[in-house]
Amino acid sequence: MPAVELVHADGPGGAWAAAVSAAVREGRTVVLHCLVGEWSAPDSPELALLLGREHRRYASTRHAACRDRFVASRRLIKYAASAALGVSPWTLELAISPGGRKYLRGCGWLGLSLSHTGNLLVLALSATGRVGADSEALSRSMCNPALVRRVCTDAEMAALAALPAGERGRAMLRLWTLKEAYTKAIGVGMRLPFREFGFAVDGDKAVLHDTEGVPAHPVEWDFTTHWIDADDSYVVSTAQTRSPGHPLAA
Amino acid sequence: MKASPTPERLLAHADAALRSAMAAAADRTPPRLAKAAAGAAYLDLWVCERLLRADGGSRSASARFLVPRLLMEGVDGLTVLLGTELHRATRPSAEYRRRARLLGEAMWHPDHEERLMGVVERLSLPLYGDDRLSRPMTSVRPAALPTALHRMLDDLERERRQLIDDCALSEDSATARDWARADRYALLTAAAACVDDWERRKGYRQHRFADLTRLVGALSRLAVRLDREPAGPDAELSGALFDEADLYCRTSSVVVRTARSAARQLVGV
Repeated sequence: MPAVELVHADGPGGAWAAAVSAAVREGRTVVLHCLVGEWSAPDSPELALLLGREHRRYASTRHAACRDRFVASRRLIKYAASAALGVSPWTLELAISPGGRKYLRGCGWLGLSLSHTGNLLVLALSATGRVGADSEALSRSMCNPALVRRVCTDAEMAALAALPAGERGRAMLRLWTLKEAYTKAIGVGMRLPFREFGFAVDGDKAVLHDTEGVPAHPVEWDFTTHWIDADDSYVVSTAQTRSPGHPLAA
Repeated sequence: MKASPTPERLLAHADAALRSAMAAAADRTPPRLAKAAAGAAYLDLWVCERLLRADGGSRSASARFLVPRLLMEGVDGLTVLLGTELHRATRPSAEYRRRARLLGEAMWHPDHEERLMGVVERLSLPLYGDDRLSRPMTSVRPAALPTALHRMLDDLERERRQLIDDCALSEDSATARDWARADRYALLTAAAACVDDWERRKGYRQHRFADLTRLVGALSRLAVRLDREPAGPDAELSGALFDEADLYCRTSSVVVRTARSAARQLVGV
């Protein structure tokens, strides 16, 4: 079994829920992906109950697309956590730490990380340690030289320059998602400048480096990249810590 | 199964992580966000120390439940202060990473359910008598409080009353709603511990501006965790808390090994 399992969550009540339950119980990180339309829902008393205090934020959001994405993300989080924890999604409460890290009240040990780009939503869940996820559409261009200089270490810029020109855009998007996933996992987001750490990629894995291109030691993190074809093509990267214990196996 | 570290032990890890991060960043002037991260970690350390001191030390159910998460979040935030030093093989950076890893292991220790249930069980009885949350957040008249603190305490008091109402209405069988109440209960107990400390110190010396900045900053971080608004301008960003954290780290050359000694240094006694 892979340490990180990618699952399409096609709406409440799907077969994906059993996969989430098994993956979390067995100590694997599970990465759910879906399209906003698969999880959006109109406002209703049931939705208000599910959102709890967040319903105020939902009601004050003007743009319909933002509202749909908000509802879809909250429904995805609560139904996925419900599958992982074996409780009703209506009883779970989502909270946000001062650094911006989301957690379920009382269940801070169920790490979760949400990402969205275009119509894609991604949710990573882990019961064994810190987790972060990020996604980007492959149609997005990030090979702007100024951006590359601002985001990449010297070693990463050298690795990008060594690639055929046609592959650089995809490689840069992958680096970006790895950096976002890592900073989300440690709960700091872009407050940690992306040029202050780097990655060397190898297959679907990546290794964390310092700014000199030296691998970080000891190896505490696992990084994985997936490629998804949905309404568009996307790259999704996850970061998770290696844990000596496993809560759900206790 | 190896026992999880006590909250006091975790306080010592967070203390060492803060000192290590400050030492690693000592050669440069930290940018604004890095200063804010140090101030935030210092505040979380202070809140946890207050909670431990006020709520029965390592026997406190709220502390056993809350301290691992609060300290891990604060210490993780120090990565912003470390910046390029984060993954270097220098002694302070390696020590920071070791302490951060130990805090993460405590957070995901298999006894997490037992820690949660300790607080849930406390909430199965009405909040009265010795329970700190049976009393208002402060006994000080609103007019006697600085505006930022008054607003913040007003908000936290509303949260306390809502928690009492929610507990009274809770169902007989346990649900995940009890988990959320436990989280709010622990956060409010920590807030009350900070307020009580501030009021007690008021008795024997004049308020210093630093005391107020620290209290409002600490309560702001707890308020955000309770879905409430932080007070006024972000106290963490003021730079004052970075200076206080810096002074705290500089005034002791002795490695803090117990929370008790950490506590003495934190409150300056």
